[in-house]
Amino acid sequence: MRDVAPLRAALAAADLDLPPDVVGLIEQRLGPLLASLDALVALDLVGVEPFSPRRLADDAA
Amino acid sequence: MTALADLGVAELQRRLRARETTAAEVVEEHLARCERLDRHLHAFVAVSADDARAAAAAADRALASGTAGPLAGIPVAVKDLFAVRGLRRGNGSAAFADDPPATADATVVARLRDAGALLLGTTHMHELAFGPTGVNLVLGTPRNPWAADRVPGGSSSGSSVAVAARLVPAALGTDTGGSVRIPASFCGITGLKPTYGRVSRAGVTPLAWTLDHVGPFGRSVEDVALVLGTIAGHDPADASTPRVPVPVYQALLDRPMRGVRIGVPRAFVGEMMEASVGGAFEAALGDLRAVGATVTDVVLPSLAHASAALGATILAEAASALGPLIARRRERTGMELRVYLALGTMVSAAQYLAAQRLRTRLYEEARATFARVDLLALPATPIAAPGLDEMLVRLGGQDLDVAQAITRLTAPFNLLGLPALALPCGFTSSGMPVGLQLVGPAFAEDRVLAAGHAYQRVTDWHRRRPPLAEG
Repeated sequence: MRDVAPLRAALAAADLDLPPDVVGLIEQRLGPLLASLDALVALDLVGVEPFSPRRLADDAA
Repeated sequence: MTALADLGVAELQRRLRARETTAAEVVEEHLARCERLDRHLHAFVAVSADDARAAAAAADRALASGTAGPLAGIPVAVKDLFAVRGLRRGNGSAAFADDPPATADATVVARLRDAGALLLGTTHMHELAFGPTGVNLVLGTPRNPWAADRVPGGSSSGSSVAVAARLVPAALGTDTGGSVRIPASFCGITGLKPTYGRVSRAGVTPLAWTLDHVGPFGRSVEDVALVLGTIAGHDPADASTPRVPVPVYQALLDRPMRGVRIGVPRAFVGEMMEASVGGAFEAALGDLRAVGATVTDVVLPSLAHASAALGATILAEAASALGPLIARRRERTGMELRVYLALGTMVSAAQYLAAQRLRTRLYEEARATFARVDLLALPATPIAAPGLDEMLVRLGGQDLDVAQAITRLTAPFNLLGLPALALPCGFTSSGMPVGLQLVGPAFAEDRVLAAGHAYQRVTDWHRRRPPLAEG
């Protein structure tokens, strides 16, 4: 179960004063996405550099 | 005699050049349809009738003198994210309601005008393009012409509805996670996300710099090819546009399909799909085989992480791009946008960089795959247009956020920057359109369009007329 405290803190920091049921809905809808971001960091990407879309033109040449 | 508004770009172009009709007649018929139907459809933010009539008069003079551009006399619309001289750029948000009119055109708008197109106006959209349903609670949601209780798809909702409902034969949108292909799929029309950098974004409000693409809508692949040819190419005002030559796309449409190798990432598409979407997709593969293509399964393992990589990238880049833009107007933005921007502040540097590195790995997998196949095929969306108030959809035994679900099959090609075409390939049992997606290597729009054109020569899904287009 993901810790929802950072999400609530981010919403509060953005001055989003939302009723608890709306916050619950946001957690339900977007919690899996936020959890998947943590999973990205856990991937083995040793030796892989960040992507630059500008390499598309080089590869097409 | 077919009504002029039922004709696509290519047929209008032919009739205008043969002097079988005039740009003045074409614009009046389309303006009359906007007047009659758009009060129900809500596709347009602004209709610039006087400007369109003046452009039509100029187009008729150019057609008479033999100096007409390729789109002379063709009505078009653009999403309210593009700068259009003389119109306020609203970005789908009430936050820009007091802005002055733009003093210059976006590069692509200028290129449309230079080609002789008649700019009818700007179209509604998901607020700041940040969402794939097209639902806009503040400014109003364009109606899906196939069923008013379904979303039109977004973010380029109004452009797609306008084309589907025969208010214009072609329009422009933007696509950051699927925002051309999703509304094209949901509204039963054709839409292309070109290669990253193929079309200038100068004068277009950014959402996420490394994912944003400008793309055309039409009812047929041929129409999309004609519009792409006028807007593509290097632009000194957009550093992301390389000097890669632009072919004459419509001249390359009739290439034979015999021997064309199509790969299906079946493990990724998998079970996460509405059954009738799967049925229409398999039938489309059968049609492509029947015209000579071979179809094989391919595996790109990193597709499994594409939605997460898109999420990290779009949230972080949008928070950076839009935060300052709306800083002094936050009170007039919608809650959904503010929630997304708040989430953007939660994306860590480690998460963002992991997403960019995952993109490189996925790109290498795609390059290796394109050494063995010419195109990829998959559904444009795993479901047909959901209901207006649906927030979760059940797919593959899981409850998914609707935005996550409907971008699942489009998002990978924003991450990769590869050209991806959505075109109609059937209907669900409830009568909603289903979209096929064809994807090619970088700058191989000609190959993608030729395959789509071959498919549309043996099918008539793209000719179907939605019920709300009647009248």
